[in-house]
Amino acid sequence: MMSLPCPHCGPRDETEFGYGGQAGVAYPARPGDLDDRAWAEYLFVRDNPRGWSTERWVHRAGCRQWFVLRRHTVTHEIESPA
Amino acid sequence: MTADVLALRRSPLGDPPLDVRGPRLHLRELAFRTLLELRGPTGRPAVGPDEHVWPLGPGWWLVDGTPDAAPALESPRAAAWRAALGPGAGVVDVSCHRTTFALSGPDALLVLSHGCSIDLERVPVGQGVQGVLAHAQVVLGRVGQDDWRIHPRASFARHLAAWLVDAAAESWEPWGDQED
Ligand SMILES: [Zn+2]
Repeated sequence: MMSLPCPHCGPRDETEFGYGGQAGVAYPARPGDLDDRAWAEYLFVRDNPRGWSTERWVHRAGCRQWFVLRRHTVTHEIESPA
Repeated sequence: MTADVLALRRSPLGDPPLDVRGPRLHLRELAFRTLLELRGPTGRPAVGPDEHVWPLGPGWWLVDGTPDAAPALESPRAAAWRAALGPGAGVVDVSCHRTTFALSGPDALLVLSHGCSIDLERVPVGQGVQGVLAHAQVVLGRVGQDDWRIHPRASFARHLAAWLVDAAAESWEPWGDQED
């Protein structure tokens, strides 16, 4: 069981959270200009690092706030980004 | 008519009300409490002597008050809070969303910690947390050193009551944890 640090509630079990995928994926500035391949990449293609990953999580069973943290995908070390 | 409607109400744990008492623990349902969720106030809202307020998240509060005397689509207290908080705040009557358990006695914290990984010992009197107890989402409030309020969702009330009665098996016995 991972313990994740909610910025509002403190450390809680991972089962209280929902995973929101890679953080920092910006909505395209001019989505109409994208061809199908670029749009599909924006929608579906994500980094899959072996190592540190910056992710969004939501504290579903608690304060229901979204936040960003860094997780090591091999060791499950957790860091809150500065 | 009013009396008829009130007589038809059933709390999530039904009739007769849950009330189990042992030498070190007392568990009961406090049915039909008036529960309001407030959105907006960043500071802790001031409540009356018959009310508790628990923080649910940033700018988000649960107010637990005595049952209303008359049935209504919305508790009159909701309008009172709306007037007090002013525009920009949200007030929703969630009385039917959750029910209220009172768990008190010297074993209360021990029993809760059987099913809750939150460090409840560090929750000061008057404070509360939102989290998971025995796989059920709950709001936990500490009204005294050994006196807790548990607000499970209505549909989880039976599960949680059964779990609490089972988890507290040793607290119901007059001989405590003495071996057979
Ligand atoms: Zn939280």
